Amino acid sequence: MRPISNNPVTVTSDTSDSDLVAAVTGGNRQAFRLIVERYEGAVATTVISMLGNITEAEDIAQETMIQAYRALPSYKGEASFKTWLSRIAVNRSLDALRRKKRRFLWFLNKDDDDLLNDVPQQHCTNQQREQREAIQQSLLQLQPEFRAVAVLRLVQGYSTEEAADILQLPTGTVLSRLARAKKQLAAQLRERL
Amino acid sequence: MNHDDEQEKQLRQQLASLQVKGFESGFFADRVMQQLQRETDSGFLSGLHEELQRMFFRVSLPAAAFALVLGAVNLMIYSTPDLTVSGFVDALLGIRGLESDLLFTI
Repeated sequence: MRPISNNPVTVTSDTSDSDLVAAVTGGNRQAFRLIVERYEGAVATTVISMLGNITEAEDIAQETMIQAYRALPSYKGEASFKTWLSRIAVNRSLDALRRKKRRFLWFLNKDDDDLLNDVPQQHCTNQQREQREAIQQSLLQLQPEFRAVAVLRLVQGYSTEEAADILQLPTGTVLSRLARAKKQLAAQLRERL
Repeated sequence: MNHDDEQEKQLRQQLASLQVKGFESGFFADRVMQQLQRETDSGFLSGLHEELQRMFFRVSLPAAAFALVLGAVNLMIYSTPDLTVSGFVDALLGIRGLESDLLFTI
């Protein structure tokens, strides 16, 4: 537990999400640091899986956090904080992919080939690293809309309803995209692994 | 368990390796907080600039309008058919016909 005492309301790493949000909206900026530390992993997993490129992913993750900070007063707690943050992360990633597609369409494949060396791979053997690269490469072959569903459902483990809520899509659309993504992923992985 | 569930389970196990605890740099939170600080600082400065600009227009525009009206009224009161350039300026300022002694007094 790491208390932060230079603020009107003392917050610790054990403080609940809703209390941290209340503290941030009340002007306690250090409470936001705890939110960032708490959800860095979830946001990093989402943006790295979506974008592949670790440098770009870190930029998008930062934008996600800054946007979340600005939008915090509008967070009413209908969805869990993680779900709410994931929505921002996915939308930011999709925006980045659209921008990238528009600007550097012909560089995209080259970038994607290089990017996997950067993905965090602590304590990985060569075989694990190769397997992981193959998995990430397979994921990157999916169209962004299908990739978003696959990342949320298969990597992050969200339910179909939660994924639909995050992507603001009907459940049926999520299910059909997931089915197509799974089919493509399975085919890709069979080839690569 | 049907084929779809099995496939999903297998895919999940394979994709689980993509989960990370954070960025490898280890300074992500610092980076976010610094960016937030920078944005707040620049936001404060641009807010100050906007406020000063708003205050300037709030004061200077009514003052300019008042001066225009005053000049127009002066012109209507003091202008004569034989108005010269210097006479026009005097009329505009409302000091036409005033003796220099009186001007100094004003």
